[in-house]
Amino acid sequence: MADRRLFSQGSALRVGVTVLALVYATLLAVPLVMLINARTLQHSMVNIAAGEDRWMLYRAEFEYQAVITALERAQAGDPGIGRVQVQTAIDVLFSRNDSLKSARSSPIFAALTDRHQATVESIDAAIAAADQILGREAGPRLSPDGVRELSGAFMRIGQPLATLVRDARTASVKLRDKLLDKATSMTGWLLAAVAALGLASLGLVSVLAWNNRRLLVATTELQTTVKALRDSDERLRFAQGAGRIASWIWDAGDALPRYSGPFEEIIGVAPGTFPGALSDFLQLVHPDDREHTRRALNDCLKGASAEFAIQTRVLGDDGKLRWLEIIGRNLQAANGRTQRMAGVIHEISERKRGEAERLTLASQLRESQKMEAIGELTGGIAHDFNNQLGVIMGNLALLKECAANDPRAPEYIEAALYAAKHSAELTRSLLAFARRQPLRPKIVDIGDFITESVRLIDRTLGEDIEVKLSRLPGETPVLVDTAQLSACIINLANNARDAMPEGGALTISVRTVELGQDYAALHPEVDAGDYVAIEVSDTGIGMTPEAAGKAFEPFFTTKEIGKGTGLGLSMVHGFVKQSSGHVEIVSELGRGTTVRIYLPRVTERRAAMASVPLTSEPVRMPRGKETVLMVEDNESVRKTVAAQLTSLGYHVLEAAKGWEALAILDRSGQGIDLLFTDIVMPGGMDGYALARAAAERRPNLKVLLTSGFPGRWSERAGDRRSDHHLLSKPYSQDDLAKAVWAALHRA
Amino acid sequence: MKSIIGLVAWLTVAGLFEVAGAPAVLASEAPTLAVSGPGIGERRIGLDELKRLGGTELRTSTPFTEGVKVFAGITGSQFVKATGVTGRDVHAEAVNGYKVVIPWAVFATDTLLIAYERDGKPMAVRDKGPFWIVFPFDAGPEFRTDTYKSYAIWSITRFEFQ
Repeated sequence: MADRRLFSQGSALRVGVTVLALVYATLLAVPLVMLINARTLQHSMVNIAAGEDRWMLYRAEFEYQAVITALERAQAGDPGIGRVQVQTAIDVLFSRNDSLKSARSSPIFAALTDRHQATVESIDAAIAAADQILGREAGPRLSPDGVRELSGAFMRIGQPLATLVRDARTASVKLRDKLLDKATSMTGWLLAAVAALGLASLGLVSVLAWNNRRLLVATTELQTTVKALRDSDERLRFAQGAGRIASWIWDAGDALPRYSGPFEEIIGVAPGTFPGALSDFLQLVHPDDREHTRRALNDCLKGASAEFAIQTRVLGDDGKLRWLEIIGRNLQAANGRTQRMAGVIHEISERKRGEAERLTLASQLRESQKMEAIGELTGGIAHDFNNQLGVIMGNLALLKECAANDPRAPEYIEAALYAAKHSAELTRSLLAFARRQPLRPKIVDIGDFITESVRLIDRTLGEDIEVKLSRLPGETPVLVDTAQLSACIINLANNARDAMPEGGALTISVRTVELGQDYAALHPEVDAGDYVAIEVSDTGIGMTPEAAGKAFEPFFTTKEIGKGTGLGLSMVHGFVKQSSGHVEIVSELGRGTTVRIYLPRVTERRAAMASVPLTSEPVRMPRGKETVLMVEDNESVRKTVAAQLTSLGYHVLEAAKGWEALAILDRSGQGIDLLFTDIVMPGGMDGYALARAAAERRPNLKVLLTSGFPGRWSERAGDRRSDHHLLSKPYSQDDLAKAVWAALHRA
Repeated sequence: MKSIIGLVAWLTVAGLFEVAGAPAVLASEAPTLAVSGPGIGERRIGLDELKRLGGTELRTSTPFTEGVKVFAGITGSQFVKATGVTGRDVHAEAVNGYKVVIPWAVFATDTLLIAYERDGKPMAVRDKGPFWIVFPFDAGPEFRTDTYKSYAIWSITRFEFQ
């Protein structure tokens, strides 16, 4: 905009300057002509001033007067005037007349031709007459007659000479006035020319000043525009740098490659070293991506595709692999011949890394959800299975009493009981995996505990396997169920042993470790904090990444059929999770496997830590005569347990639902000593609600709760009173006897 | 004694006449030029002697005559060189007492001619003789100025160098 205006102003200026130049030239011509005229004029003026023409006339008149004076003196008898003197005076007059004749064409005499002619002729005539008179005179002195005649001859010159003198003076004055007028008018013209020149100069200066001002305005505008452009460019550059975006233009045949922004920085080459052509760029693309990148770019360049957007990896000169997003569009030139495209590159390495992390996180989340689902499933199965086992075990115990007389019966019954107990162990493992096994946690120093465990393990693993303990200094207190932890360690040691058929080394290490926010962010189920890490490493055959990924799933095993249940690591996983810990497995095929267990480190030592007394339960099953109100929705379970309690000497009242139990309570009043109820019951009232309702009627009523889902106890801690005793399913008659006795006799 | 006094008186009168510029006696005799000044004293130079001192020819017209004339004479520089005269101004006097003053710088040059012949003949008084200062008027406009015209004195009888 500004430059266009500048241009139009430029042409206006050219016209203005041309016009002014013409005016100047014209005005300058005037004084030039005047100067030439003035030279002539000056010449004439000087002639007039010097009076050259008149001077000749005056000299002639003077010499004429000299002749007259000489003749008058001679007439008066002056002895100094003789013939010679008169003759000389006449000769001089003659020479003057001669000059006067030669000046007849002078400016003054040219106007007085007649008078001039008359005068010179009268002088000639007088001299001719004088020559005759003098020719007659004999002596050196002139005769009085001669003098008289001479006077008469010369007196005739007087009149025409006087007239000429007078007229010449007049003519001279006129001529002078004319020249003065001419000079005056010339002066006027000159002044006018000077004034016009001044005005023209003023005009030129004004035009230049006006144009200068417009130029200044335009220049300022241009500067502002340039500055704005520069700022905009700077901002774009900054934005491109900050966003790691660069633009490019590529031609077919690499005729005119251009790129801007941090292009070189993005692709990882030193500044100024990138030639810029498409082929040069493709050289940098990762070989695995090169083909699809080349195809996408070439298709767009040839117009086969109007636009493209691809992600590709480039290997920069700095050796780093970068993820780039390339977006381009075909730029078909108007003539349709030039193949060209333009677009941007954008580094997306960070985004790619983020995506990879998200994928990992998502897969971990999926994994943990899967484990949760499997846990629910196995937990549910284990619960029902436990109930059945309870019935089996209860009935076997009753059968044992009935069949006391048959000598073969105890052996068969014991075998059946053993199988049932083994089944119970399996369900315990399942529950452990489902994080639903009842735990009896206590605070223990893992270091000490593991040291003890290693001694035990070392004895059982055999000579081929070297067991090493690595214990870093520091206290490692953890709230954990030591029996379960011990089972875990033994489990892991057995796995290690099986992985090292040729022998090897098993290393168990204990150390404190802090899992930071970063670790927690990558493992959603882990809380950041201080942990104690127990690491069990072997130098065995290892696992593939796929196998390692499934290692914690229940029933997954790499061992031969019949050699493993596939519940070992599942149990470890469930137990650790239930203990608010974290477990991970690292394995490399052919090099070994490491299982790392993290358990939350207890920072406050409890006074009770070392003083948890080992309760010396009576070896015999305790018996009683109290009245027990038993609530269980499963009829077979209820019947079995009722029979067991009866055999232990108790008086049993049965109820299938909560409201039935409350009705019995209301009816029987003080006769009931213990409420023994299942927690999970259909019909709106669960064990907790029943216990609460019973407490309203009988505040001192003893309560024993039982459930196949002991994991739920902690979840509903608010429902559970401290004086409620617990018994987890399945339980043996022995467990039942102890639990009922404890509920009746302990606070 | 009386004759001596008469001679002195005659010489005095004759001197007076000379000063007046009308030496009647000399008019009919061979023309002479009275010259006075530093380096030359007081002397009279006749036409023949002047011709011997130097001669040059000048072909020119003059503002005072008609047509081109051929003048013979001695240039100012030749005259100065030959006579050894010096000075600053030259006072030239005509037969009728008319006088002009010519600066030395104009007089002692090759362009100033003390003419004694015109068209091969000595000049009478009526012809502006016997001696006439002429410049090469046709050679350039600078000679056609009034200054040079005023220096062109004719019928010269005397040069007084000062």
